[in-house]
Amino acid sequence: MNEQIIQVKDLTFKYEPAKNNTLSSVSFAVNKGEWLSVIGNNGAGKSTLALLLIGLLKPQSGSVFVCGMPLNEETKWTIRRHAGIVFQNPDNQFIGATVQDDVAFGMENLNMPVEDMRQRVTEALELVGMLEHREADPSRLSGGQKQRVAIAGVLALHPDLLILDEAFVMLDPRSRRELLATLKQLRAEQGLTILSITHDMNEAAASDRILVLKNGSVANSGLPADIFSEEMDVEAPFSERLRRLLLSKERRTPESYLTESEWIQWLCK
Amino acid sequence: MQIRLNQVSADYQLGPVHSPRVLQDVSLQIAPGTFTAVVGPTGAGKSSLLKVLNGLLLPKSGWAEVGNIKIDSKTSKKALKAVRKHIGMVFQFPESQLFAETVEQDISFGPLNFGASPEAAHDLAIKMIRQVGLDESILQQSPFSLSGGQKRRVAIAGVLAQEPEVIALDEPTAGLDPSGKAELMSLFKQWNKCKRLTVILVTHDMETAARYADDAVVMDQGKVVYHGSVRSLFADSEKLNRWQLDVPEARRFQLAFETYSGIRLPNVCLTEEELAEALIGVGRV
Amino acid sequence: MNKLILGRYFPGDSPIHKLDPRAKMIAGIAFIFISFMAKNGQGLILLWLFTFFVMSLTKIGFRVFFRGVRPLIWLILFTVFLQILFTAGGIIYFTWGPIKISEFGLINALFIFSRFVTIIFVTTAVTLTTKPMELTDGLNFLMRPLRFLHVPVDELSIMLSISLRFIPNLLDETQRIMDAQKARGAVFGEGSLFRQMKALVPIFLPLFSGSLNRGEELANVMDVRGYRSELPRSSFRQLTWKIKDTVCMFVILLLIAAFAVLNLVID
Repeated sequence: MNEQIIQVKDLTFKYEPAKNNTLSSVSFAVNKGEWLSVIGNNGAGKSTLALLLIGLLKPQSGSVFVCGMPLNEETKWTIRRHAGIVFQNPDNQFIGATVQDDVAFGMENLNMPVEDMRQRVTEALELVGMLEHREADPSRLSGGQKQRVAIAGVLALHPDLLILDEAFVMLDPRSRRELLATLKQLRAEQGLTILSITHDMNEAAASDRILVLKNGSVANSGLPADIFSEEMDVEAPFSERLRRLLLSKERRTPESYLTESEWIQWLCK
Repeated sequence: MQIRLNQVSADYQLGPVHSPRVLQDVSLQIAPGTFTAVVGPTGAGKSSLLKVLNGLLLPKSGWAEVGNIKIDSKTSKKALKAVRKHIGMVFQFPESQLFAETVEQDISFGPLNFGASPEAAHDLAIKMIRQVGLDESILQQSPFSLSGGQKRRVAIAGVLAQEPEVIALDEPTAGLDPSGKAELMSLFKQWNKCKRLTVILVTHDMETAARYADDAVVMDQGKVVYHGSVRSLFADSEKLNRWQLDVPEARRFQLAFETYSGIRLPNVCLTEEELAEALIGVGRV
Repeated sequence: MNKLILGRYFPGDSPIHKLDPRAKMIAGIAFIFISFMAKNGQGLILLWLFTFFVMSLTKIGFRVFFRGVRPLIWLILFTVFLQILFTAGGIIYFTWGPIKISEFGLINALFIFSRFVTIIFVTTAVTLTTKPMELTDGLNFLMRPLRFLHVPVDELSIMLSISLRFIPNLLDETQRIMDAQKARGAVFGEGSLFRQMKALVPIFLPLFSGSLNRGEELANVMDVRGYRSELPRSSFRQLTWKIKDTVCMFVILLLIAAFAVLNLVID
């Protein structure tokens, strides 16, 4: 029986005093060790979902269970020890004066003894490849480096769940690729459960499962290959865009989504 | 409007921070009506290059020429202001520069500064808000009440309202999702083609450069190391490697296919459309 | 944009650099009071000798210190001149209407000048050799007794350190916004005072709005990372008091003693 890290049931939310719901009856679950991507066009409610899951917003109705605990005003502090979130703006989440100070911030809030903090800071920075920059101040870091520090800050608490709210959207393509590789490595080594909200299809393609939100409701969910083949109005990775293009020209194409290397082999058959 | 740089060297100073030689002996000529991408690693001097063009950064030695206005270390404030009318500059995350009470007032800021009458500024605001794909009703709203995407378009409208001959863009699509990116870039491409607006685009995104630009300038450590067509740049893997430039996805696919299959496609493919055509052409699909 | 040397950190590894910020701050504040203990010629000499001693220990060129005095030089000279021109006492050298240049006036002026300048030099020595974050750490510690007066010391401390951390960002953003508005034809620093102030609106408003935004995002992040001001928090940054810091305190005590002795003996 696979432990479910997140269970969302009939989640409904709207920003007062708006008339329409941003999210309507959203239900889904995330299993331990899974990497779920949440995609959908702008206004679909993706970021709102992240804020709800971490307890920054309160839903009008529905329930959220994180690590088996119901999320509410009392439990949110406990839940935040098991789940961390990285937001989009690298600068507006860097609180410490230096890299290591920032990583330690979450632990300071838990009144952790200094020796334990020191060890965890070192471990966390090592995991994200920022150990040599431990004393750097943020003005000398690139956006990608700052996001690594943010991830380290979450990892230092040994969380069960990492939520990424379009965390790579402000980074240049190269940094995005490097961070994606780091995430994959972290997942393999640490068995981290990841929920990433994104419109980067390469990021979505790397995940185990994709959830598609449309106008605040769950429109589809499944394996990346299936989603990319089925969901025509959502932006797709390059190889899928190529396939759709050839389809529209009524040419011979693979029946469903293929990765780049699969494509090339198919072309040479 | 001809743009020329002649052996321009410049240092950068911000408060106590002094970066010497952000530009080293740069000579460049950009023809009117072209769409040029300026690429290169971080710190190469791309943004500094743009800033020299409208006098935000004055050359320490050498001179730049925009139209018939010359910019060197001694250029007067008056001349600089004149240049700035002709070169519209859109900075990264331009929505952060909005300040006026209404969208219309913000858009009119540029034209009014450059001497337009209030009536002319009003007309320009209406014209430009339509150009960026927003509805006129937004003109009376406060810029702070808009969404991020709308704010960005308002900021761009404000720059267009100056009616410049050249538009310089520094990562204009940063932070946008793929459809937002495509919408914005096609607007720039359209203005380039229809209004003959010279476009200079600084970007890290090789996909964008490959798809929209005709020419490319590669900068490295303050020097211009390449100035030619975008196509020839991306055809040369050695150069791309040397200057640490990403290969556009279509091109990468093409190279992987050619290596694996041994079949050479007839041309350098920079977009999925070109790749599709090429694959059709060689009968693989 | 910012030429005030008073707050600028100058990297180095002199004996002063290596002192605990608390020791330096206590010594600096103590010095301000001690400077008033100089009441005679010998005291004055001691004051200057000690100041030069501290300055040379920082291994930072004297020119940097002089640059720190420069912004305040007019205030100092003004005060000094007032003393010279309007204090009467002892031998009067020159009179003209209300102006009386006297022996007392001149001597007082010398003392005031000395106090002003030595205080600036010594406090500059502290700020030049202590990183801003270390200063906040020191301040945090020194403010602890205020907790008994229900002053929210920890919150103030974290506010201060976050503000410090964002100063480079603010500088950058100000420059960026200025560039953006200049590119749209805005002109700064010209025209009447009113016009100049009005011209700053396109800079201040976006900065302000950006800061509000940032504040909100930061608050969310702090919240999500478990920050609760009402609960006890540990501190990753630790200050360790070393023997050299005790020596520093000892030196200050010696200085006080020296002045006390001088004042007793000479008179």
